[in-house]
Amino acid sequence: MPQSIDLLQGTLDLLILKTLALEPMHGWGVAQRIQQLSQDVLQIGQGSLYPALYRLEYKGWIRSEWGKSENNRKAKFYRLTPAGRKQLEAELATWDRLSFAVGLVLGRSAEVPT
Amino acid sequence: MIAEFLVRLRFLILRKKRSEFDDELRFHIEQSIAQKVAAGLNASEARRLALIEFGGVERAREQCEEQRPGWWISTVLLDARYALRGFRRNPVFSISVVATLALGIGATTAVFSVVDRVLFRPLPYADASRIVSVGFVHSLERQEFLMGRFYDDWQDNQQPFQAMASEGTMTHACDLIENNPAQLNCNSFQAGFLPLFGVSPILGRNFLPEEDRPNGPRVVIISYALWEGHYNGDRHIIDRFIDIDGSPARVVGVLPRDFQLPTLESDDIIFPLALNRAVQQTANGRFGNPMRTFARLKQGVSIPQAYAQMQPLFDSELRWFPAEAQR
Repeated sequence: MPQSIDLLQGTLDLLILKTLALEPMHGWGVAQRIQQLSQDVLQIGQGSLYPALYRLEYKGWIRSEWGKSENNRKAKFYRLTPAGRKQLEAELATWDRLSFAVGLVLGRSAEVPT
Repeated sequence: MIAEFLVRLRFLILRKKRSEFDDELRFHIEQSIAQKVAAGLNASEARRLALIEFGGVERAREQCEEQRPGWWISTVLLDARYALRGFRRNPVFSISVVATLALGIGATTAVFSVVDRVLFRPLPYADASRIVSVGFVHSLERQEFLMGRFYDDWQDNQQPFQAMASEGTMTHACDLIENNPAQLNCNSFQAGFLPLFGVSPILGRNFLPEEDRPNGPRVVIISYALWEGHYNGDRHIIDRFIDIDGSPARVVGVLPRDFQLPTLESDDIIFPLALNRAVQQTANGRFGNPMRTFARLKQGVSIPQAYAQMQPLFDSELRWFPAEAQR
């Protein structure tokens, strides 16, 4: 298994918003989805996941409701709000600027990740 | 802006219930176990690993709670109590708490013995068993304190003590401004404070009586730790001017390495307390500033005797306090 890396707080928020933009999901699902999409590089521990979900909810960017999971268990689903969608766009733009700028400084902006 | 405010308001009123959070975490752990069982682990091993991966449940619960806007409001009451203990800005008696005042005389060694035992530090004072801490005690402040208004009166009229001296209760942050700046703890005590404890500076001297007066020269005594750590033990520190909070102060002494304030606060810079008798009769709702007062018992006077001799003084001051603050 590849070594997991630490995420900056803002980055985790961005990943969660992006994941929830696809479909409403419970906390476990968010963590799994991020892990899969990142090919196991990003493993979100519950110690950061749930505080982040709560924080985003308090900011009004996501909203939660209880529902049934795939295996018919009671689970709390999070869903992006319209404000959250706007926030996601703003954060994506910031991310693009940041990663481009860091890439420039490191002289790697032209490289295509393999 | 309004929308954000409404969201905050909603969550202030509708706090998440503890059980709701537990349900959410339980679901997470169950999913984690199911995944491990699917990967071929037996049920108990899967559960064990899932719980280890999950980590501290209580900490997670706290962290989630701390995301709630205004979560700290519930801790403010607790903070208020700590603020009282430190006498930061709030004068004790302007706060309408139902409080009980009593005269307190405690042997310093007894008052601080618990801390000493834990830290394994003997109080390095000469004849320490004769040093007492004297003042009022209060249901929210069990350690003796005295208000400036009464200090001179007690000083002039007391019988049982050879000497009395006070230090400020306000250890406060102060800035040392120079090429190598530092934030330090500052406090103040009277010129008679070190002699009361039988302590002399290892370098330089104690405050002179004329320095311990209102509008006196700006002089300081510094801690051994600051002298050694910040000034590399430079003996030329004496008479040097250092800039504290933007104005110069002359260093007149360095405290001994093992010197410990009886309140066990680690102050780096000590100013003279420079009590102004007139100000102490008017400031802080006419109570004056709070202070920690210490005294050395005369030979042959026991603590119960001292207590009895101080009682009339204490009783006569009680008229200054609101009725609900008295015993």
